[in-house]
Amino acid sequence: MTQSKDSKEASIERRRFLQHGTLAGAAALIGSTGPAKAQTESATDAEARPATTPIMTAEVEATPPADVQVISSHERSGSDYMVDVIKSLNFEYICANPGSSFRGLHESLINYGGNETPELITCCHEESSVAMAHGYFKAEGKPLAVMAHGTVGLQHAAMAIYNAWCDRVPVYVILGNHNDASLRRAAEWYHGVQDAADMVRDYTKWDDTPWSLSHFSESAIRAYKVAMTPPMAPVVLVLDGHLQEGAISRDADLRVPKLTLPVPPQGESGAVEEAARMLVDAEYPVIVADRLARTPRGMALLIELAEALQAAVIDQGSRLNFPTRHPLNQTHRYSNGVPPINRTVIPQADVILGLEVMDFWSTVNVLRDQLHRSTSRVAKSDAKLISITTGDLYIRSNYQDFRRMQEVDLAIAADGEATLPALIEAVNRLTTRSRRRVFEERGAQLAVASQMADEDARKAASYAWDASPVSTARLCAEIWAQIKNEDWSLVSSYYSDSGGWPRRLWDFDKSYQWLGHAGGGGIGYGAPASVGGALANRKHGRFSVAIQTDGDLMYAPGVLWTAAHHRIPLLSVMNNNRAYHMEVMHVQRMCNARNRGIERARIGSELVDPNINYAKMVEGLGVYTEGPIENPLDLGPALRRAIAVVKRGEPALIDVVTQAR
Amino acid sequence: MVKLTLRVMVLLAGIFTHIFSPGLFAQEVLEAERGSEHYVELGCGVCHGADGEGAMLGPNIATGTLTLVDFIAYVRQPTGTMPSYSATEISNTGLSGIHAYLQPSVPQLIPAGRVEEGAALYSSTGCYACHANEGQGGAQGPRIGPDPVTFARFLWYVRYPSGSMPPYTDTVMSDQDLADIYSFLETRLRPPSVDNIPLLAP
Repeated sequence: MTQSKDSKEASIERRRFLQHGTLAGAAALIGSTGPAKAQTESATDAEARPATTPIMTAEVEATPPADVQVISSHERSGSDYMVDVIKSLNFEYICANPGSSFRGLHESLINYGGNETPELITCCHEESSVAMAHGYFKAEGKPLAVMAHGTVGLQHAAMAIYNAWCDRVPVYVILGNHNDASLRRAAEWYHGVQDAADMVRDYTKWDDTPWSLSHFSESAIRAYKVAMTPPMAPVVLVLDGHLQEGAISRDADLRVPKLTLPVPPQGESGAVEEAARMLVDAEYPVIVADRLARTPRGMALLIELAEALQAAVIDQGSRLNFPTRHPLNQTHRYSNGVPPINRTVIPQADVILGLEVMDFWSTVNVLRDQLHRSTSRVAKSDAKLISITTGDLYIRSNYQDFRRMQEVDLAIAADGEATLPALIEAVNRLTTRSRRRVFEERGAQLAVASQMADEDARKAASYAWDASPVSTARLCAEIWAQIKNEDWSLVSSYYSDSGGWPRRLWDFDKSYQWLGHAGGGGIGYGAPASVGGALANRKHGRFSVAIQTDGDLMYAPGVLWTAAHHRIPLLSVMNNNRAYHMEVMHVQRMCNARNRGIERARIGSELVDPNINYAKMVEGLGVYTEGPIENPLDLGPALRRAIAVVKRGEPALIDVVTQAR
Repeated sequence: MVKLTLRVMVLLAGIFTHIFSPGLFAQEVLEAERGSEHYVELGCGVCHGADGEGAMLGPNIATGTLTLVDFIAYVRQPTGTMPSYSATEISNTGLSGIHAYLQPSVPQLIPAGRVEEGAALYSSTGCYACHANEGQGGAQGPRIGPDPVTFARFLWYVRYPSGSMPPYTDTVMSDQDLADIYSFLETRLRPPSVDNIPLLAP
């Protein structure tokens, strides 16, 4: 019934558009000053003047308009109804770089929706919009919505969507499009596409192009549900311009469907019991966690499991799964701070439990990146491997982010966090008094090792302490000194985590204090993700700090204008090593392998000549700045001044010239 | 100027391993320098003689004519009567140590290092990219200064890295270059005591 109403309304709107198109055509004819004169114009003049330039004449002025096209009091727009549905999903914000293909929804959001829940966040690039949503989710645990053109906007957004996909982060992407070719304005041909979502279908979990408002409401709710069901991932809704802009009766039979999020699946009870038995019987069990902690409860549960077993824990860091200074945390027990981190603890393990580990193969093996690549296993050949992951529930073909397949002994296809309570209960039930004594002895040894790793980290950080450019260890120690008494959140440390300095030197014990990585390795994530994380932290009164790399910021620095415009408090401290240094190292590796000399390896990867002055650049975006700072003694006072600005509710950036690594 | 054979230098490095700062070197370095021990442990001498000079059952393998890659390839998949040795029995790193042990005794000079030239080379040849500007190390490479390993070990590892470090042959980096870089690393400032750095207090 609703469908037929929609169809009827659509046909009325089409008539109106057709009338409008006829009128425009007539106006264009009237606007012409006659064929004789047109023939005398030069070609250049004709090109310079748009063919449809209206030239008013008495005749035209005297002609009443065929139609006054303002929505009537008993109607409302389709996009108003869309806002009703979107509001039911409780998005706090919707990020967008404005685009005409979603102008109807844009207008409804700011007027009908009152620009509240969601509030529109003005972005300067669609990649920034999506990456902000990515960072926001990892701080808040809720998705943001993003609007973009179905063509040019999505092409800008694609990289950030891929990052979110690889990081299994839900982003709710709404694309504008113009399906009906007979009613497109000129620009809408560039902004029209037959299958808008096709471009990102390989790295989104679900998409739909609703053909009616009823269809939209169901798909909008479904999209949210799909995105938020582990393994979480971005989703796309393509909204036709006509569906947004067309009028519908206020009495139209349209309702907002109810959202019920599925409960994430818990591991099968028999398998969980078997896993518990293997862990209890193990002499040196190691727990490896990666995307485990979906919620703050995930960390609490992992602590409970680790302490029940007194087992070593390695936090691979896609989320903050375990406190950095917990005595069972063995993540940074590696020689001189040099990864791979699986060289010291993993080889000792007889049972390894992987909790939402995205790359189990690299956890128990290493690849030697030389001219002839080779691999070797670092885990014992007879070590038993257990995986608990939603990664076993969903996989796509084209993009290879699923990593190399690792043979395991017990694979539990389930959500790690949801399965932990049952696993903990089984471990406690199976632990005898004699095993408890073994566990306690093991835990004491691990505590000593953990303490030694902390001491090693501090000693390692002391080298090149007074050097200029500033060492990355000193940079992190200076920041820590200024924020450690705040309710802080490191909203981005993408590729600034060199040496793992923040997590080696700082005391992380809350899930929002570390927001993980980009996921897909796409540079340009750090700056917008940090603004998104800071946006989430703002209402909680948390102090947001980002360690911002130079190459990353140059992708889309306009996001810091967004931070200034929306008064998003964020301290960005530049790790400005004046190069894409990871790439310098890759090219150097090729130079060495080909035995052709290394001196030219930096060509194409350095950001020098001229050096980029980030303080000046960002000052123009309305952000408080200082720098560039090269003397480490200047860093502390500059940070204190910037922190005072951030505490007033504004962003600030300190440009620090740092060492390569 | 001190004259030492590369082979002797490697052996000396092995002997004095215990005096070096633990944790400064990758485990692989130690492994590579145990070439003579691996040679004995695997029983290579049974066929090839005590020093690889050849015996009744095996040819002279101390001629220096086999490249490391060829050497490893042959040990893994020998074509004659020699038994194969898998990676479980001896790693590539271990084999690289044996290969070094078997190199003929060609006199090698340790050139005198020049700090300023070393500083320039440390930058231009990309050492800083992994080991940071002062050799203090980072995510991609361990600390290599101050107090670097012996020059023999340093030279050996740069020429035959066992991990993912790219190898520097004498085509792209001379022994003199390495001596200069070594001198630069030797002269890096030692840090103040951690206890005297309030920002690093636990």
